[in-house]
Amino acid sequence: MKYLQGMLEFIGGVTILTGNVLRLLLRGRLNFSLLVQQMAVLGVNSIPISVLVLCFASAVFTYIIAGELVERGAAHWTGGLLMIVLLREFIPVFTGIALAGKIGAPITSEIGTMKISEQIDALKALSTDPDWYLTLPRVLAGIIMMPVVAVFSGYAGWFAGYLTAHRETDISYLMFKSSVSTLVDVSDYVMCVVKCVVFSAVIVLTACYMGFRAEGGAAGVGRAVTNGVVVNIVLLFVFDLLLTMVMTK
Amino acid sequence: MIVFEDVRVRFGRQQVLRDVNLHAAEGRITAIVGQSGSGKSTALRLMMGLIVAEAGRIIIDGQDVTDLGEREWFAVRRKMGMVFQNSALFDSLTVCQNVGFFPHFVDGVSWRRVRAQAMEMLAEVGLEDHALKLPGELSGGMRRRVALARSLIYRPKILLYDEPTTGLDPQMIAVVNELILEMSERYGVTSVVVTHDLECVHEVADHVVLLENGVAVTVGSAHQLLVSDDPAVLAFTGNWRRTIQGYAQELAGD
Repeated sequence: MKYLQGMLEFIGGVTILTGNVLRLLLRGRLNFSLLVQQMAVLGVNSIPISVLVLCFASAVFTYIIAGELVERGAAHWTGGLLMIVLLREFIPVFTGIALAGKIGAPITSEIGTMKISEQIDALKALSTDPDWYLTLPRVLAGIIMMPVVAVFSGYAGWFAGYLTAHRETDISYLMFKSSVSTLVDVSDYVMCVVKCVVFSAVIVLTACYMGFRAEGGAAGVGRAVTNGVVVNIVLLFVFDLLLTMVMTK
Repeated sequence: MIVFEDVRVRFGRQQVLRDVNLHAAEGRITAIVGQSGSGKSTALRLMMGLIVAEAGRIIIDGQDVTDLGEREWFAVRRKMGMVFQNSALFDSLTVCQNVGFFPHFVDGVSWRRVRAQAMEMLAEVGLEDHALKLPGELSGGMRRRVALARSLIYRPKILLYDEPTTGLDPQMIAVVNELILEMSERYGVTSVVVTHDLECVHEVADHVVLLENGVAVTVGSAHQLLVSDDPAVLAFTGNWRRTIQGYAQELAGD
C-alpha cells in the first residue's frame, strides 16, 4: 500500500512538474544563459563516461556474435547487426544509464541540497519560479545534449565493435560495414533519436523531482540521489519497452 | 503593513499556530519573539507565502493573500524581501551574482548594469571587496550581510528577518542590528524580525509580539520586555531580566 501510494505520488508529482515546464516553455520564458550553462555541464561532462560504456558494450556484443557469424559464413553481417543493435538499443539505453548516474545524480544532489538549505525558498522569496530557474534549463539541455552525446558514444561503440571483430575474425573494415546499408534504414535512426530525447527528458525530470522532494538533511539528500538513480534506470527500461513496441510495429 | 487575523497552522497532528492575531505597522520594526518551536519562523514563512494557513486571514500591504496560488504569490513577493536564518545564498553563484540575482533574473537587466548596482549594494553592507568570492568562502556574519544586500537591491517595501543575529559574535550582532535599523530608517521599510535574541529586540524593535506554544501575546514596545508582568512574558524574559538587573546592581555598587 505504501509503495503504491509512493508510486502514485511520484507519477502525479512528475506530471505536474512536466506540465509546469511545458507551460514555461510555451510562454517563451527561457533564459538562454542558463540553458547554455547547463548544456555545457550536462553534455560535455557526460561524453567520456558514455563513450566508455558504449565501447565496452559494443565490444562484448561483437565478441559474442562475430565468432558465430564467421562459423556460419556470415561474417559480413557483423557490422550491420552491430549498427542495428547500437541504434535501436545500445546507444539510447547505455547512454541513458550513463547519464542517469552522471547527470541525474548531480541534479538531484544539487537541487536536494538547495532544498534543505532553504535556497529553493530563497528563490521563491525572490519571485523566481524554481522550475523556471532550475528545471526548465536542465530538461532542455538534456534533450538537446543527449543526442549529441549519443553521436560520440555511437561512433565510439561502432569503432570498438569493429576493432573487436577485426581482432577475433580478421575482418576488413570494408566488409564489416558492407551490410549496414542493407540491414539499417532511416527508421532505426529515428528510433535512436526519439529514444534519446524521451530518455533524457525522463532522466532530468525524475532527477529534478527527487531533488525537490528531498528532506531530512544530508542523509535525506543521499536517499533522494539513490532513489533518483534507481527510479531512472527502471523507468529507462520501461520507456524502452514501450517505445520499442510502438516504433517497431 | 502585515495583518494576521485568527491564523491557524497545522503540520500533521501538530498545531503550530493557534488563532494568531498580529499587526506589523508600516515603516516600523516588529519583533516576533518566543522559544524555539513556538512558531516564529512559521509565522514568517506564512508572510512570505512559503506555507499555507489552515484557517484565518493574512493581509500584506492591503492585499488579502490568504488564498493566493503560487504564481500569484510571485507578484506579491516582488515587494517583499527575506533574510533567511542560514542566509540561503545560492552557493553556485558569486557574492556579486547573489546580490544581483533579482534585477538580472527577475527584471531581466543585463549583468553589466546589474554588476554596478550590486557593487553599490555590497558597499552599503561593507563587503565590496568580497564580490567575487563564493558564499562558502564567507563568515556567517558576512553571509547574513550579503543576504540583506540581495534583498535590499530591489528596494522591497517589507523585509522579513529570520533569526538575523543567531550564531554571530557580539561585534557582528551589533553590525547586523545597525543595518536593520538603518534600512528601516533610511528606506522606510516595514520590518519583521523573528528572533529569540532579546538584546536584538531591545535594540531594534518598535513593537514586540511574543509567541508561546503557537499563541500570540502582544507585548507592546521593546521596553515592555523589561517591565511587563504578563506571566508569559515573565516566563520568557525572566533570566534575561535577572541578568540585566544583576548588571545594574553591580554598576550601582561600583
